[in-house]
Amino acid sequence: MGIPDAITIALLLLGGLFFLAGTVGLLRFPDVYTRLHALTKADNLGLGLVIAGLAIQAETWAGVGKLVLIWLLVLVASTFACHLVARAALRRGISPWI
Amino acid sequence: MNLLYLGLAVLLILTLAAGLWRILRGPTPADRMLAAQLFGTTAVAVLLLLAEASGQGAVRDVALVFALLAAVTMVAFVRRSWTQDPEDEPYGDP
Amino acid sequence: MRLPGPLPMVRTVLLRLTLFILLWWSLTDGQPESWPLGGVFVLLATGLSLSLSRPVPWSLLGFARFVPFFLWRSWRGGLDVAWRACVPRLPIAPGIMDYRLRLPPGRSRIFMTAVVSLLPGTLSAEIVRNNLIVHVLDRHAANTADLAALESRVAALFRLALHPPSQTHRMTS
Repeated sequence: MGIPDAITIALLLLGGLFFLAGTVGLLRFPDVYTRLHALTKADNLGLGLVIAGLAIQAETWAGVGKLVLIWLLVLVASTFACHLVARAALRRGISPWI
Repeated sequence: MNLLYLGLAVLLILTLAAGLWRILRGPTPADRMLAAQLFGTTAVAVLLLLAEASGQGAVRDVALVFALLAAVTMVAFVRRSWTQDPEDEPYGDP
Repeated sequence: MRLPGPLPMVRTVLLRLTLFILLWWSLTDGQPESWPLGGVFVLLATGLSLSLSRPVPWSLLGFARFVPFFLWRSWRGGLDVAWRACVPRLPIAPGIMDYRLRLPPGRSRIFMTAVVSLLPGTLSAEIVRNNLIVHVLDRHAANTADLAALESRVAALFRLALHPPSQTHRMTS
């Protein structure tokens, strides 16, 4: 096993931990706003790390490009989704847990 | 390496299931909308891991389409069926 | 917005052409036999994008500075929320913060709204006129300096000058 493989393993495991932490947050946090924090930040970081780990294994630069594209798409989708859900919740009068 | 990819994919599917259980319990509709976001990120990661493990590049394109759809679905869902959108001016003129 | 001169226009055309070429190349995994078809689509997509959206002023230097800033902050954001979720006593003290935006309405503001949600402890919940309503995970740790720092980076990215120096920021529990 070479150094690239070791880096991939480290990145994937770290990414998995962030996905896990995101779900723990989802289960433990008290309201929709705080759960959004957990989901948006932790899961996107987890995906970023998983994608970085897989990019090291990609055979072509085009393959790396595709992975980065996927990451950017999910990033854009989930940040706007996060904002829209929070906005909709505020407008519906769901008050934040204090 | 394949074992790692598959193991991680299984772990992510478990977190997805746990998250879904939480989301189905609500209590507010906003909580249920988190499901789309959860799927968007976690399912994409699972698909990418499976693509790598199986050596089937086409699965990566499924992840790509999934990412695209997640974006579109989410925005459409929030705008159409959930908000009453009093007046939609906050961003101003682009 | 002032009309773009000939040089920015050429720059915009070349930039979008390059982006669509890169997009096609990565979507098709760089297969050379896809290019006859790809060329047509790249040209069509470039034409369409030029007719749909005006050139966006942006700065390469601003972009080069923004990327590491964004990566570092979103790493810290993820770490922060992961830590808070996993500590048994659940160290959170959520609150709502009102941040007076200095960015003008438009793309830069939308961009900032999206990025805020990835940075440590902040989540953009609403824009009311010129105020960004931010949900914070810990109102004791939250401060407007981080938002102001982000705002100036965004302004540099979009080649904007921020006019009023940051004004009243309000914290409501």
